[in-house]
Amino acid sequence: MSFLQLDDIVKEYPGTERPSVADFTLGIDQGEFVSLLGPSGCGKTTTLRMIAGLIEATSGRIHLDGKELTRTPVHQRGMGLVFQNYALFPHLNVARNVAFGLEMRRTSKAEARRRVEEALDLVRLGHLSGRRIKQLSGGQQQRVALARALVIEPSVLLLDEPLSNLDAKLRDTMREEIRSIQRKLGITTVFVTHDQDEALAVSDRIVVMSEGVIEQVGTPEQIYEHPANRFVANFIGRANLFDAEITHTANGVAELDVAGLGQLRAVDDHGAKGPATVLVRPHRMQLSKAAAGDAHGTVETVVYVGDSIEYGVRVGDATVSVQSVAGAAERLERGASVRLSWQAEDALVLT
Amino acid sequence: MSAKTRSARLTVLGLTVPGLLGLAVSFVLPLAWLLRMSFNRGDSTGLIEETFTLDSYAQFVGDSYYWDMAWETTLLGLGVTVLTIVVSYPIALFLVRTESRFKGILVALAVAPLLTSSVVRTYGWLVLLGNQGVVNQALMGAGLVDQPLALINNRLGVYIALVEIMMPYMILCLLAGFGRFNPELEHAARSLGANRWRTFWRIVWPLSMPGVLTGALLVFVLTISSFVTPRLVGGGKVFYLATEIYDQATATLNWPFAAAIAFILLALFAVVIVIYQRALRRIEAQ
Repeated sequence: MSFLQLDDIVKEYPGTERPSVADFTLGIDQGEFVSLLGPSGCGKTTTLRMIAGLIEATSGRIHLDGKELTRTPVHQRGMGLVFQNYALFPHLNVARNVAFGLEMRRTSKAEARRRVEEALDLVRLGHLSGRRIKQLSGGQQQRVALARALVIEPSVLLLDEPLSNLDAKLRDTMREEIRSIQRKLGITTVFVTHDQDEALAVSDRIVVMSEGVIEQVGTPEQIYEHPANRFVANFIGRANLFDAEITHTANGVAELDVAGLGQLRAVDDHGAKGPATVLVRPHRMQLSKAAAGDAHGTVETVVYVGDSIEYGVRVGDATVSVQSVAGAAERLERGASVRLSWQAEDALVLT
Repeated sequence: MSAKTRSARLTVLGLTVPGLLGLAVSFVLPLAWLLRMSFNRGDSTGLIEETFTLDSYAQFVGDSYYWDMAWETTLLGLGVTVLTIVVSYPIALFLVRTESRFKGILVALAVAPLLTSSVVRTYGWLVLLGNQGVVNQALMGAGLVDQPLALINNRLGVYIALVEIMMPYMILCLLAGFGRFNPELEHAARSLGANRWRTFWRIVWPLSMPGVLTGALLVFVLTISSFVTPRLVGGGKVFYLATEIYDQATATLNWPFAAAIAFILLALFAVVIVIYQRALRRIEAQ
């Protein structure tokens, strides 16, 4: 059993067609940083709130460090929560917000003062302890919320979309900061986000969810390079999905007959013959100029974005995205006839 | 001063003057006239002697009967205010927290009694609380009491009716005052180790204070100045400053004395408003 173990967690609301969360089973190790990633309505926040005890699971069990806490009320779980809207107490100043959890634990005044100071120093807000909440910027408020959750030395840190109310630049800084604090303290962390870049950048493991169920669990590399299905492939990064027919498989490489592109090869862990879907990321596609009779398609859009050029290539009814390094290759114009291909190791057969 | 700011000032002046003029004619002048009246000498024959005397005030201050009445009036104001907070608060909290799609309708229902005049609602309470009323019939039918309880023509009835009449005002003030409140704050407090009780007293209650104070001021002032409900439900057997003013003015015809009591009541208002302002400033300083 893992440090934080969730078994067959189900959450159903009466009068809804499908459960918000269905058969959620996941083990999280001590010190691990796990992201729950998915589009809105996928059940990630509901799952987080069931771990916190704010929502009661319809069925299933939650164990923390070997002890069951499925029925333990929220205030006895000792988990640290950070909310999307910060949820700082507006009538208390920064230090008293951070001290709240310690007061509830009847920590002695002297020790509370020391720990509040430590927590505020950790988030680099030691100089603002006397400020009122409404005098703080969004990023500062988020840091106070983090300090308030950490000061109680929680067994688990739960972060509910903590960065989504911050502007883009601050988001990146805060995400690095959260990750480095998490590493320093070695605290087990569950992080809810809908932003795949965020999840890829900070997580030890990512849990991709959709419509209440887990689609895939894996490291960022696994999720990106070996998505388990079409949903994950589409949700994480940009993806070209091709319909193909597998004609032959040997040593984990499939020979394919790809609609509109002809004979190509791809990595295949399944070994089954017949119809399949092939995933190729735009930057792994190869594009070359061709004579009109020999071409697969025509260039429909050309977008220069500095680091690279993004082409949209019309192949039959579909549009294929190709990203090529700017300047490295000959630049193609709109309307050019082109051939498309890829290296076998850059393509993956999906189930 | 530039032409622009001068014209802006003229605009402000132009917009304020009609209102101020209206207030002066309809409120300040009658009040001044009332103040003047309280220094005249009156008697029970209805004759008013134009003079300048403190007789009416002396009559009030010198008679323990009126001191008791002032005390009962203050007690009524405080009691109704506290009881109204107690019964309105859960409703307001529910309305703030609910995610029901009928929230708008529920809020409208909570304040809908304001659409009916308090006179009509007072008569409603007479019907409900009387000896033959629904409440006593139900209690006797259930065998809980042998004789009808005396629920009207006494102070108890006045409290019951006034609390119900004041509830919509209190709920409206509480709802407005919950502005800074957000249910997520309760979740945050709970996650930090506070049980429901401590979450309420440490987070919910302090954040609702502006609404509680405004509601308390409004309800207190409306209560001690109300005379229809105390008069009707009290059945002429219980006396407060407001009913006494009415009696002195219409039955005894001692207008100077009625005017003096009115100014004593006004002094009570002033005290309460000062207390309210101080309390509000203390909350805002937090």
